[in-house]
Amino acid sequence: MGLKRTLIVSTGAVVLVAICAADKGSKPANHPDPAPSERTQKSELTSAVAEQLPSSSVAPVRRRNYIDTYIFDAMERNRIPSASLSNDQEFFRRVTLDLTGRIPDSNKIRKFLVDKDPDKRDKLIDNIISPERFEFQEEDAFVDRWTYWFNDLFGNSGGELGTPGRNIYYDYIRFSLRLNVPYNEMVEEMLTASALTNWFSGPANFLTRYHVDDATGNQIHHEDTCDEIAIQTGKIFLGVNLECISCHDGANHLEKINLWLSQRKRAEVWRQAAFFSNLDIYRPPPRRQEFTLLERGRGYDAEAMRVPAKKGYDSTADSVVRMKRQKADVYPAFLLTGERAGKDEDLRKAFARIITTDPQFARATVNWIWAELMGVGIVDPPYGFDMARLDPKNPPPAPWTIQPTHPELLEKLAADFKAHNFDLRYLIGLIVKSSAYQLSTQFEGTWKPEYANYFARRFVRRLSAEELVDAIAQATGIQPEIPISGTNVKVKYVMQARSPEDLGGKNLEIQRFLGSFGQNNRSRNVKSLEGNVVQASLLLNSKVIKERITAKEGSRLHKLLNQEPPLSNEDLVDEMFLSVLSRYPLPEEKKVAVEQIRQYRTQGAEDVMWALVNKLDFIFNY
Amino acid sequence: MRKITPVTNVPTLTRRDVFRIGATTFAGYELLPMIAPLQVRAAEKVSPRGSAEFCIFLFLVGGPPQLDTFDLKEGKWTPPDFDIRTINAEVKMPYALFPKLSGKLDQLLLARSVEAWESVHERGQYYVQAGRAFSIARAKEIPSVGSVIAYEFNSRRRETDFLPPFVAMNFTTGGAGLAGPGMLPATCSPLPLTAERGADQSFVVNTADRGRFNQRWDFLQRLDKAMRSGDSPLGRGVSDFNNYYSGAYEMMKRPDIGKILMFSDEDHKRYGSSSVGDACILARNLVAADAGARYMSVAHQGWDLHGKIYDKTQKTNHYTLCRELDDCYSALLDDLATRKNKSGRTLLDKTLIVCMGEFGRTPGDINANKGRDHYRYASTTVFSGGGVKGGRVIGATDDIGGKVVQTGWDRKRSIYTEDIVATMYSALGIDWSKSITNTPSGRKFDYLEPTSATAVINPGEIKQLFV
Repeated sequence: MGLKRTLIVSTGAVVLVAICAADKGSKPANHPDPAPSERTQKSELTSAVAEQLPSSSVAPVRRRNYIDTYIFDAMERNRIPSASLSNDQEFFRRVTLDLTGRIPDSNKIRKFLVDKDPDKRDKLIDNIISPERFEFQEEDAFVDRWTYWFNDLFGNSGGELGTPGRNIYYDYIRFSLRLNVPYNEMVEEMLTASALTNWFSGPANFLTRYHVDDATGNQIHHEDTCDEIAIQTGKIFLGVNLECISCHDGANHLEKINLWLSQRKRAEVWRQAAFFSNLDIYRPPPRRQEFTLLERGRGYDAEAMRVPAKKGYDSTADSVVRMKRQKADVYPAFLLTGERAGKDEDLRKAFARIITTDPQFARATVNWIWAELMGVGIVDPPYGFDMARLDPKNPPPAPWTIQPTHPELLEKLAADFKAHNFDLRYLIGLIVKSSAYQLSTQFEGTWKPEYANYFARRFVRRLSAEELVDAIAQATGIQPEIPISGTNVKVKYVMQARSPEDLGGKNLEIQRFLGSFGQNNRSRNVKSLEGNVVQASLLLNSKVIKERITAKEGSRLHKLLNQEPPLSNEDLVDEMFLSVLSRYPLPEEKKVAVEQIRQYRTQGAEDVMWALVNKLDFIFNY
Repeated sequence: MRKITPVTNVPTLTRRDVFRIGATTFAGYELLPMIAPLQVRAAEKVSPRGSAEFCIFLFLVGGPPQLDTFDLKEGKWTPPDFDIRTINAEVKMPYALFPKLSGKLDQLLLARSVEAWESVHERGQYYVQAGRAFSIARAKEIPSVGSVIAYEFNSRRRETDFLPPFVAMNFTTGGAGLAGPGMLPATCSPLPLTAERGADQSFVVNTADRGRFNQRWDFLQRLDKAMRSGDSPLGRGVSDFNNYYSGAYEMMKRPDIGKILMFSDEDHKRYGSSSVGDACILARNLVAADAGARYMSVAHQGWDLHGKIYDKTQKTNHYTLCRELDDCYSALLDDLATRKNKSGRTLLDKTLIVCMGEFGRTPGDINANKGRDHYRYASTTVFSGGGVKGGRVIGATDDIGGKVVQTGWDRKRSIYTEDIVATMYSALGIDWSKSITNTPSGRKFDYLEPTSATAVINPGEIKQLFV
C-alpha cells in the first residue's frame, strides 16, 4: 500500500483556468495556415483530459537528447512554461499504445512501477523497438502496429489490389519493417518494381494501388494513373499536396493556402507524372483486380493484350477524373528541383533516385512519424508542406510566416535520419526517448492555445478504432478470431488484419464497430478520431461490449473471480484498473468500485468492467 | 414551412449560454455549431421550395441496369419471362419484376435523362453521397449531402427532437463506405444503423435489461465523476465525448426508441423480408416519429451484376433485386400515403423519396459473362412524394438505353448528380447556392460546385418534377 501512495499523487491540482483559456482559441477566417485550428482543438482536448488524471511528478524536466535542446530552448527563449514529465503510469500506457497499438499487461506495469533503475524508460523502449529481431518472431506487436500504419498510409486494400495482391503487399511491408530495411531502399524498390502480376510481387503493389480506371471501368487510364502516382508519391514521400494543382494552376486559387503551390502550374504535375509514362499498368482478363505492371514493350505482347500502342504522357488525353488537359510541353522533370533523368537512365529509376535523395524526402518522413507519435506534426498536417516557407534564413514575404513550428529541429531530424541510413526504428526510438515526448498532459498554471506550437505539454488523442477494439479485447480477455482472407492464418488483434476487409463474417459486429469509430477503409474514407453519439451508444450497449464484460469462462473477470486464494475486493479493483486503464485507481474511484462489488460480487465486477471500458481515460491516449 | 433566409447567421454565444442551451435541449446536438461558428453565405438568389420535411434516399448500390428496370428497352437480350406490359404511352414495365410498382406509377416520376460522372464504384458512390468528385486534398473536410442537411436542420430543431437529423442504413465499409460530416460538427454525423432482423441495435436497451442499464449508467457517472462533471466549462474533445454520451443516453432511455428501431414480423414480410425492406420500415418509422430525423439514406446492396444477371440460380440476380425493391418501395409508398397529420397532408406529401444508383449499366446486349458493366452515360432516377407530381416521365434514351436523346427539362442537358442534390436541398427548404468560407483548408466549400470534376455545369433544381 505504501508503494501506491507514493505513486499516486492526488488530483487536487486542477487546472480549470487552463481549460477556460483554451476555449477561446478560434482562428481568424481564411488564415493562411490551416494548422492552428487542429492544433488548437488538440490542445483543448488535452486540457480537458489532463485535468482529470492522477497528476504527474514535479521533478524538473531533464534534457535527454537533441530534440529536447530544440524544444526546451524555444520555450525558454519565449518564456513558455512547460508541463512536467509524465509519471510512470502515464508514460507506460502512452508509450505502449504508441509503439505497439496495444495496452500494457498489468504485471508489466506493476514491475515497471517498482523498478528503481533510472534508465528504465529507455530500457523499456529498447525492449519494444529492438528485440532480437533477426530471430523470427511470430508475435511482434511493434512490427504489427507499424505495418498496419504503413498499410493505412499506402492504402493497401483487397478491393483495389485483389486479396492475393493485398496479402503479398502486406507481407512485403511487414518483412521490410521486421528486418528494418532502410526506408529509402524500401521506397526505391516499390517505385521501380515490375511484375507480370501484382499477386506475386509485394513491392509492385505500391504503384498498382494507384491505378485509375478508364471510362469503361474495364481498363486503366494511362495519364490519369500517372497523375495519381505523382499525387500519392508527393503526399507520402514529400509531404506535399498536389491534388489542387493536378486540376488547375496554383495562381488565383492557392494564394491564401500555400505560397509555394500558388506559384506552381498544372503542367509541373504532369512533368512529375511523366516519370511514370513508360509504365503500363494493365488488367489482363478475366480477373478484375489483378494487374501487370511493366514498362511498355517489355515482357509481353502488347498487341495480343490489346494495349493501345502509345508511349509517354499525352497532355491532350481526356481525363475521367479531372478537368480537361491542355496541350503542353510534358517531359519528366522533378517538381521540387526540375531535375531530369540522366542520359539513358530508366525513368522510374531516375525518379526513385531523385526523390529519395532530396532532403524533402527525409523531412517529410520524420514529420510523418513525429506527427504520429506527438499528435501534431512540426508541419501539420504532414501532407501540407509549403516549400516556400521552410527556411528561416530565407523567410517568405509578410504576412506569411515560417511554416514549421521548429524548422531547425526538423532539419536536424531529417539530416540525422539520413545519417542513420533511413532507420525507422532509430527515428521512432529517438522521439519517444525525448522528454518532449514524455511530458505530462497536465499543465500547471494557465494554459494558452499558443503554447501548443511549442509542444509545451502532451496532447491527448482518442484511441483509433483498431486500438480501441484491441484494447477492449485485451482488457476483457475475450479476443476475436480474425481469419485472414486468402490464407489459413487467424489473428487475434485487429491491428494484425491485412485490411479492414478481414473483419467480415462472424466479426461483422466488430467491423461495424470499427466503422463507427472512424476506421480508414483505405478506399474513399480516411481515418477519423472524432467522436459521435453512435460511438457512445456502442460503448454503452453493443454486443461487442456486452459479450466481453461478462464473467463467462475464458474472460479475465472469470479468472480473477475464481482465483485461489480469492482476491480481496480492494485487490480485485486494483487489478481491474491496472489491466483496463493501466493505472491504479484513485482513492475515490476505489471506494466507489469496491462498494459496487461488495454485495453481489460477480454482477458488481461485471458492472465495474463495463464502467471501466466506458471511462473517458480508457477511450483516450493521454 | 419556416421562412428561409438566404444567409444563416449562426449566433455566437457565450459559454454560459451554450451550456444553458445544451441542458435544455440535448447535449451533443445543439452544442457544437455555436462553439465553432462557420461562415455560411449564399451566392445567388434562389428560392428553395420547401415542399418536403423529410427525404428518403434509396441508394441502389452497385448501379442498376436502366434498360431492365424503369427505362425498359426490349431486345434480343430481354428474357421472355419479364412479362412486359404497356402501362401508358411512355411507360412499359417488366411486370414480372415490378408487379407492385407497376400499379403505382401515378406516384412515381421517372427521370430517364440522368448521367453520372464516374464509372468506378468507389468514386461513384462517393459522388452520389457528397454531390461532388472525390478529392484526396479535401476529403477530410467535405461533408456529405446528409451532413449538410443535418447542419441546416440543426438550427430548426425543436425541444421534442431526440433523433439525429441524418440516419444512414445498411451501408457497408466496402466501396466508398458511408460519407460523413467532414468539417461540420459531429452533430451532423450520420447515425449508421444496420436494419436487419437480429442485427445489434445499440440504441435499443431491452426491456429486461433496462433496470440494470440505468443502474450502470448511474454507477458510471459516480465512478467517472471527475471526468464527467457537468459544471466545469470543459473545452472540446473529452467534454464533447461526454456530450455524445449524454446524447446517446437521451435516446436510449426512451422506451419509444425501441418502437422506432424495431419492427414486427408482419411488416418485415410486407416489406419483402429483406434487409433493404427492414431499412425502409425504419425509415417509415423515423418519418412517422417526427423526432428530428430528416434525411434517411437507405443502401440497397448488390446491384453490381457483371455476370449471370438474369440467372435465377444465382443467390443475387436481377429478379431478386427487383423483387426486393418492388416490395419495399411499394410498401413504403403505401404506408406513407395512408398516414395523415392534422392538416390533412400525408406523410408522403411531406417526404421526398429519391431512388438511384451511382451509375447505370451497359446498354443493349449483355456482355460475354451474361452481365452488364458500369455505364455512366444513361441511368434512371425515380422520384416520388414531397411535392413531386408523379405519373410522368422526364427525358428519354435511345432504343438500347445507351444515350440520352431527350433531356426533358429546362436546362436542355442531361441531369447530373448535382442537379438531383440541388432538388433535394430545395425540397427541404435549403438554399443550395450557399457556401462555407472559413474551412480548415481555407478553400471555400460550395454546397454545390458549379463544376463537376471534368466540366462546367452550373447545377440547379429540377423544377419539372414539381409542375
